[in-house]
Amino acid sequence: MKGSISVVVYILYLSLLTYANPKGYHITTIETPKDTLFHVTGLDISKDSTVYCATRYGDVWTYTDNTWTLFARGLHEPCGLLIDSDGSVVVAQKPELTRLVDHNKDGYADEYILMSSAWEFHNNYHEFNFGVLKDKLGNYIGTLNLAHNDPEALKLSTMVSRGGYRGWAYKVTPQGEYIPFAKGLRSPAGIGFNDVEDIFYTDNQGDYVGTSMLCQIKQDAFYGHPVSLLDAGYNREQIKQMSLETLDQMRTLPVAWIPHQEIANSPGNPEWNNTKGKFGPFEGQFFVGDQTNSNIFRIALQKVGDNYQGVVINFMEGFQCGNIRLKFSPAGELYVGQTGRGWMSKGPALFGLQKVTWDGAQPFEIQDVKLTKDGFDISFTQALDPKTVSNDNLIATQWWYAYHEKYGSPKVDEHPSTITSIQLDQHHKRLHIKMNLTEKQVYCFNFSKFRSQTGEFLVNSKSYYTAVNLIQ
Amino acid sequence: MFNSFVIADIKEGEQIYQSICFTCHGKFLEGGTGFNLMDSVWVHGEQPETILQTLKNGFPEKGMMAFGTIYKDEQLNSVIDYIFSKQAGLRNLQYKIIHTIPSDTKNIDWFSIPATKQGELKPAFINNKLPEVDRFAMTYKGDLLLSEDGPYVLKMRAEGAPEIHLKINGTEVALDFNRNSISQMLQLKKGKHLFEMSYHKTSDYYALEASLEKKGLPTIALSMDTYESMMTQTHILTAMDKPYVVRKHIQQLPAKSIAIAFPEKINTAIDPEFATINALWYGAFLDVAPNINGRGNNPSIKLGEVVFSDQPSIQLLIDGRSTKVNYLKYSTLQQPEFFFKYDEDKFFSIEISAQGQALHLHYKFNPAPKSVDLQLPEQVNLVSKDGQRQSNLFQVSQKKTSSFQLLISK
Repeated sequence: MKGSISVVVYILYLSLLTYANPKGYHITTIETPKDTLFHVTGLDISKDSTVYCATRYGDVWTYTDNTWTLFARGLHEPCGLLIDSDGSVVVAQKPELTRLVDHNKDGYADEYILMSSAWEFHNNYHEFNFGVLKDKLGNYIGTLNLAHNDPEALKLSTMVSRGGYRGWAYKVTPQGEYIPFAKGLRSPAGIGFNDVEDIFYTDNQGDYVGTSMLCQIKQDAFYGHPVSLLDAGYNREQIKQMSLETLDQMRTLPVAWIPHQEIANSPGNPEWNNTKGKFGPFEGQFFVGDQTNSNIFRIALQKVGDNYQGVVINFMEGFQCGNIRLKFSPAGELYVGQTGRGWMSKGPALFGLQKVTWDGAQPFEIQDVKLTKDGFDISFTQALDPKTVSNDNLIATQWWYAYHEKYGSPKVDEHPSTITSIQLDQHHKRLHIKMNLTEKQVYCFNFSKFRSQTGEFLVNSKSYYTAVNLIQ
Repeated sequence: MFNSFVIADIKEGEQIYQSICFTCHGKFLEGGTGFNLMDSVWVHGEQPETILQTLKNGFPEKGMMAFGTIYKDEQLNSVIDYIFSKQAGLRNLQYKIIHTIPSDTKNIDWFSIPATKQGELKPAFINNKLPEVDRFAMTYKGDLLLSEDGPYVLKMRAEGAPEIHLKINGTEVALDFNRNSISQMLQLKKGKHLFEMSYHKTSDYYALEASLEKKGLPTIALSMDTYESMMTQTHILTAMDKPYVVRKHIQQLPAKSIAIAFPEKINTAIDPEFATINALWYGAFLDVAPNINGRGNNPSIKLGEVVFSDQPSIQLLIDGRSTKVNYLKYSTLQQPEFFFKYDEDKFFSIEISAQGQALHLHYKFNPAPKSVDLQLPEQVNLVSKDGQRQSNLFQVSQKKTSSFQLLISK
């Protein structure tokens, strides 16, 4: 405890942390305001690089030129923040979506304008309001968490609802109309757009969610948690009577399953990398933080038929606290908003803000995994040493996750995959794997025995591709 | 950690502590107006260098003096050494949560069952509220620090007959439950002990009180439930130089209420869904600790003298009826002002300020309604030139319905 860690052990610990992360990427801690509870659950960065943080305590702070300024206070556990085009700030606080305006330009918000509160909020601690995205049409998008431990609510397993659109995704139009548009969400702690404004959200493993997942939110879709159906025309009795088979048929499957503990326990918002190379070789992929594991992982997308499918690859570990909010700055730095209160994090700090920067050094990582008609194409950021590339050196397994009211699912029917052949392209950066394929499988490749041309090994050697559908 | 101390250092530290620090932090470091210093919770950082900075610079606005000009670094370091020598309770506490419960749990070794979730508890207390499932088992493994030789009395209270096993230094402690409580003697020496416990929830209850007690020493909390029940720690919001508008989960107020504190120590709340003034209280504003600690399950507490809260409240009757209103926004540009709309195209606002020991309410309507009345809680005093009070109804003069003001007090 306090002061007992010897310097040697500490240096060793630091070197281990450095070791575990891809070359070229560095974590910097940003000092937060003194004596202030600074759990960052809302994060956005303006074009002039001012960082806006909403804290669970209820403040909004701005950070520019290494100086923090209080912008607003008194909000109810905000879990999302967006800087709007007119310079006002939109926050998702528990009871409402609120626009903060600084009319007299003294740097402090003086108007708290209601944008919508058309859902129900019953003072349950778990009734979070996560946000906020704004689409090209000017709609604001958020997600509403289910409740927990509320004796008056409909309870089937763990998470509960009294109705009032708990477990829904919603839009608020520029005219202020509230449109709930998808349901079955459980603990949807983060939402994000890809480059073409498709909406994605992450959900946390638990009842009816086998493992944490990334889903595309589609109009009228149902993502699995039945208590949200209270607002879709079903009453409590009808919902209790519904069989798992019926619910499963209604359910839209995720874009990517995120393996529990191996990658994440409680993911935050998916942040699209559109930094035009400023953040290294992973352009056009999602970066997602995890609150429990205190890590960041990547998800790359592929369109198969009308649906996205994704591959999950770990990215960085050893953050000081639980990562719940990610945001790229104009300079291509990845800011990381953190909290460890209530739901503990591996990183020991209770709250904070860090950023990840890339110094230009090429890491050796799995770039992407794409499904083909007869297997997978895997690309790497550096050329492989062909001597290390063989069927024997490749560990491939596959499994699925069960849909049930129990809290999470183990890997179902996990078994080795049958590889027919592997072939390296002429530049040694792309691998073609031919194998037997079945739909509704997570395909995990472990390339830990592969080496780069320069003898490096992969820091993150595993990829997890969720193949809901195959290519016809 | 203990072996690095030089006894002489601790003696000087003890002397300084027991002549200065104890007034706020307690004779046994158990806390008082200042934090508990013997447990694992370090609010301002737990590294010796950080603690030294805290001692040197203090937090004057929070009542912690700066001692850097009074004492030398060596002296303050000796205080830190003394504090470290008095640490008691669990540390480095690792937990595992097990969701998959075997059908037969007799003679089971929970430590050998694969965990569904695991990690380190911060702060280091047994915490059965971590899992969000109905049925689970948990294991705990960590260090138990004691600053004095025993005997200690282990006290536990667990509703619903859970299966609990405890090992200290690898030896099973036979727990002797009398109904749902334990009070049994343990011979434990000063120093570090290996602490292992398993807990299997078998009913709807999961609260677990657990502590070690020694005559003449403050209670050593082992579980979060005990720690929370012992906590004297508060987090008080108060309006310093201008009004403080706050939304939190507040006891005896509707979920969407907005609370307002004034520097004059007069506080109120408004329910935006109905434009009702639904509380009035005098004193320091709110203790929000229950709402910002842990998961925030518990409501913030109104501090001081509560005149009314929730029902009855100051309700608005427009044209003789309780009208459905749409809340629009609030402004803090001057005094807090809350804006509403009704009947599609009609507007009003309520500006709230403090005037001495009274709450000043200024209602502004556009257009002016034919009549406006306010229903009042019986126990409030009302002063206004803009209308008449008849028992619990305040009738606004017809000429004043576009703008009327009143003072409300206890």
